Amino acid sequence: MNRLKALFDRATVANKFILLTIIMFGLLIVSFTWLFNSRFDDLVVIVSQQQLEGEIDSFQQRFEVEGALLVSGAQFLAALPGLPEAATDGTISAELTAAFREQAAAVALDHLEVFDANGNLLISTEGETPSITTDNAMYRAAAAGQPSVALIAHASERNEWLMYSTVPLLDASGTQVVGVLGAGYPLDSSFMDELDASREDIHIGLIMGDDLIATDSSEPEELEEGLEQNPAEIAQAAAGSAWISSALVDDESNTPDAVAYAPMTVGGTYAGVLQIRYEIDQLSNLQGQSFSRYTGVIGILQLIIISIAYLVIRARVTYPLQGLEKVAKQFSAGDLTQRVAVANPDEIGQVGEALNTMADQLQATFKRLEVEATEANEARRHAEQSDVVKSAFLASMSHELRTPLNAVINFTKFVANGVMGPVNEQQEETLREVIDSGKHLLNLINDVLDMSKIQSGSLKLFVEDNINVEPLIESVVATTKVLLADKPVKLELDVNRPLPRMRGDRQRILQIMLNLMSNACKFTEEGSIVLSVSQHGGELHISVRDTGPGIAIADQMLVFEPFKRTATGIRQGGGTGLGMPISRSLAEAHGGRLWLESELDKGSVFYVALPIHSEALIPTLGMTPVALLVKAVQ
Amino acid sequence: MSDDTLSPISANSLQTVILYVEDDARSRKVFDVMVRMSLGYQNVILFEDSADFVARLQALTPQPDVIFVDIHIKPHTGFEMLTMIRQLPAFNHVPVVALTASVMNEEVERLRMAGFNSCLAKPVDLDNFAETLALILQGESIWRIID
Repeated sequence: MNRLKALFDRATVANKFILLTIIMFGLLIVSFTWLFNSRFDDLVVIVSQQQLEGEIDSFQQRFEVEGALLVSGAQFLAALPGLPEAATDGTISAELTAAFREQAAAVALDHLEVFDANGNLLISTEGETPSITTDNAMYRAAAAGQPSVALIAHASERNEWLMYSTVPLLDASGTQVVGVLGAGYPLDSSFMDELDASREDIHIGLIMGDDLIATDSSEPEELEEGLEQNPAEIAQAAAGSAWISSALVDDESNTPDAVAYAPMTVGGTYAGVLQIRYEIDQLSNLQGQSFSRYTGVIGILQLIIISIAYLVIRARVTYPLQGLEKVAKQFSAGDLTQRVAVANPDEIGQVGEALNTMADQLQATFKRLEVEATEANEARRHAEQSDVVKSAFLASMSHELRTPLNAVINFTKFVANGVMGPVNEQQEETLREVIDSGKHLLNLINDVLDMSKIQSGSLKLFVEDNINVEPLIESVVATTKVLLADKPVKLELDVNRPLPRMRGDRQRILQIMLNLMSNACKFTEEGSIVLSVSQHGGELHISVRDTGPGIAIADQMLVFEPFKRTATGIRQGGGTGLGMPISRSLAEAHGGRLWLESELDKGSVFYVALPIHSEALIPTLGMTPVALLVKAVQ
Repeated sequence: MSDDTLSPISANSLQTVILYVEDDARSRKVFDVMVRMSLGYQNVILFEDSADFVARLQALTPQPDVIFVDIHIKPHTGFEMLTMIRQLPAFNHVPVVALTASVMNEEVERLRMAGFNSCLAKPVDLDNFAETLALILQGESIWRIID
């Protein structure tokens, strides 16, 4: 069931409609057929009833006609010359008998009896058993001068009946009855055939009492059946009112028949019940033909209507929908210039209108976005350009500021070292102060320049492979020892060898470590500073733990913000407040991280994690001419 | 940092002949004081510019063991000087060191491609100079760009 439903859902709209129409017409035809048949049956019954009434009248007339014919035939025979004389005489000559027989043969009469005036048989075709005797009512009627006609049973064979007529033999004057002539013919199948003119569609049978005394030559069995099945109807007919069936009866060939039982009279006397079976094959055929014709007409109509409907749906639904689909597909392919050609203001047309409006909106939006994107691109290019300018500026500033300062430091060193001539202790000490101040200034300049680069995104790493970290550690340790010279702070080293070779900026890695260590030295008055270096998976981990005053959790954010110093930091003096932010940026530029753990009065630990070999870092020399440009992390 | 003692360099290396081509007077002075007076190298030759470079170079006796050139100098830039030096068969093995204040890494790559043996940032780092020089004389390539 589900599969059928799925099939139906997938069908095109036109096909759906066709299917539904076909189903509808099918139902229509079925109901029409049913109605038609039942009405037709009624019609057939009515028609057949009318037909039968007509037939009954006609058969009745023919019976009478046969009777009348018989009477006139008998009278014709009775007028044979010499016959009345013979009846008067009471004897008949052989020649007259022969002539009589000849005459009888000419009028095809049989069952002849001629009685004389005394009731003696002069001639009889039936031999010793004449058809009637003198005590018969018909005889007496004729003897009284009245011709009569009726059906009589055969004298010797019970089931054979005759239509018989008696006529008086009149003398020459025509007034005196001198004898009786009787004649008849058997009621046999040929009589019945003649009666119904051998029609194929009507079968008749004559019923007398309980017996079927005569039938036409077709289908006598059914007429017998009628006798058995319809005694009441027959009785009713015998009583004088004809009975016509109100329903059709099936016969052996499965064509329905109409049945009637009607009383017959001949010559005013009861002549039995005529059973009529009327085959309404023709009517059935007519029904069949009409039905076929009607069905054919409906079928053709259906075809025409369906074809028209299909074409209409195709034109008004399928094609417009396809048009919508085509345009929608073009939209999704990126072509927003297409529009739906809206032909009708119906629902499909409205969808088309909506699509068009949507496309208009999208186009407008895209135009707007294009403009904005162009502007954004412009802004970006502008920013990039200014970045370049800034970088160049910073680079030249770096050189311009450092060169004279280096000269200051170096020349002062030369003098302090006695290169220019001997200097006394006081002079040397003073010059050392100058050198220290110069170095401090140099550090400040370096920090400020670094910070500028980071904040403008121009910081570039000089990336090398295979950096040996050991000499960097040695350098840091040496420097730290100098810084700790006057303090009761122990320097401890915790290096987990072997250390990996790194990819990174050697100078900057050194810078980070120096920064952490010098901070620790600055803030730790007593206790210890522990430098730990080890490898953890793909990272180099460096940590500097001190026993200094620690940093309150609230202040820990400030540590990494440029130019901010904690209260403690300001008290300790020195520093620019830039060291930590720069170190963090440098660590992150390497793809690593720098963080701090500390509590007030519990000392601090600064951690650095640097990837040993980051794919994001590209060695400055030998691979690409451009070192990595690192975006500032604020 | 107190590191102003002489680095341990063997005596005969103090005879190393060093040529420095620099147009900035102060830088020349610093170099001279540092290398000759402070570090003790006896043979330090200073050129103020690169005019007649080849002639003046070939006229030097003894011939320099190492040549430091300022890149941005006239009339011939450091690159041109390098080319000239390399065209002299006598100077094929002499290390030529570029000194530059410009730290654009595009330029560093240019220097390397041009064939300089080493490159140092200006101003020269006094503390490491002796070590650096020793390494350069041993044939090592030093690329110390301090930004």
